[in-house]
Amino acid sequence: MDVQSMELFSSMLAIVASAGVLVVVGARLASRRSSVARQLSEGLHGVSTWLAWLVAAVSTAGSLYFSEVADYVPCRLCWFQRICMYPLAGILLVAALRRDRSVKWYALPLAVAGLGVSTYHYVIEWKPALGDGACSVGPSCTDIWFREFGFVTLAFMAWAGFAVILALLFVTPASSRSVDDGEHMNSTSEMFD
Amino acid sequence: MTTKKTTTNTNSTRLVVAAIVVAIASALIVAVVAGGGSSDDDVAPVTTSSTAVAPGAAAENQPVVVDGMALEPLTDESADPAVGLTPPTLSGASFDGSELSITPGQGGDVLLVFLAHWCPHCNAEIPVILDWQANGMIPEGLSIVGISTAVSADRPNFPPSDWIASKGWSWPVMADSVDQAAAAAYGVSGYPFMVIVGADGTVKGRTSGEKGLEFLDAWVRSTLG
Repeated sequence: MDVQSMELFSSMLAIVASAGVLVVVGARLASRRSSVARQLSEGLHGVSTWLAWLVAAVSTAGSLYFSEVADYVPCRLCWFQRICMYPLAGILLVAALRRDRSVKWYALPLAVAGLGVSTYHYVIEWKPALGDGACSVGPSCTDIWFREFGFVTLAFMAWAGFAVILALLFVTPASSRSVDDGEHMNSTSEMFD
Repeated sequence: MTTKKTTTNTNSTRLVVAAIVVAIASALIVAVVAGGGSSDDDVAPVTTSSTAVAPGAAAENQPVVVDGMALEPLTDESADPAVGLTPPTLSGASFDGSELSITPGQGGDVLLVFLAHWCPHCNAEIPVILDWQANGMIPEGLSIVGISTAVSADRPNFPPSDWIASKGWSWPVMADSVDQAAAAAYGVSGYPFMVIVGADGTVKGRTSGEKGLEFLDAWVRSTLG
């Protein structure tokens, strides 16, 4: 797959992730009135940690592809977002294997910080004047390597990743709340027996 | 009841996983089929090799000979150690290959404007400078020279020769070398970057970043004294 195909593919994944946020939240909100929404919400909840890990892993792999293969040089803000996303790929995998839903509290600072940085990055891509007023001699954070569908950039992809991770970890069906918060199942024995 | 609910949840989970797999697979298929073609963002590979450009040949990068001590990169505009120093002489060429030299002290006060074609702030600054000119606000005796630097074929608005012409830039433009020798010589720390060299051949002031019309005019006038 060439770089342009990868740009298109990753952009579509970002759109799917953004839609995923709406689906997760919408299903939760409608679950009290709709059995379909309730089933969807519970179905998502069943794999939410794995999905969150998948998003983090794909985001990590994608960012490395664009910097190491496509030679898109990360700017300062890109590095801050990487600092937030890369550890999530590790801790969410461990949490998924251990079925430890309390991971959401450990993931929260990273995901929120990443969401904030990616939001700012996306805004200054559209409004460079809101940034620091100058393009850096090295890679510039107002420089746009590509913009698919007129709005999907690398910063948007990061934003979508952080947003859907937060939605998957924190939007839970009402029936699961008493189980999730601060608890995890006897994961090791259940996982490997 | 519990068994039925567990079964329902399992089926729901499987449906969710299946839907996600289908979505990802569909995206992959579309990307492979639709991607890989040319697009408006595509640009031809730039032939700005580090090897010497034939004298007089047109190129987006031109060789630049730096004669003199390079200025330190600007870090603090309020306490710029370069003020009062004699900057290096730059001997280069325009995009069309015609010779262009920037010799401190020759030709009176000069405003050097370092521009990168892909930089949004440079794109915003050129109209400001043009407004400055249109309003008759340029101090008498001040000449302006643009320096196109940080040229990159895979970034927006390439080639810079077309870009700067399309922006309406009417002053001479030096094409910096591939390794940005001119920018390095003047301590460029960001784009756009402006340097005022006085008629006495010394640096009067340097500034980095996008400036509004009022700030630009006030800065130039206060720097020239």
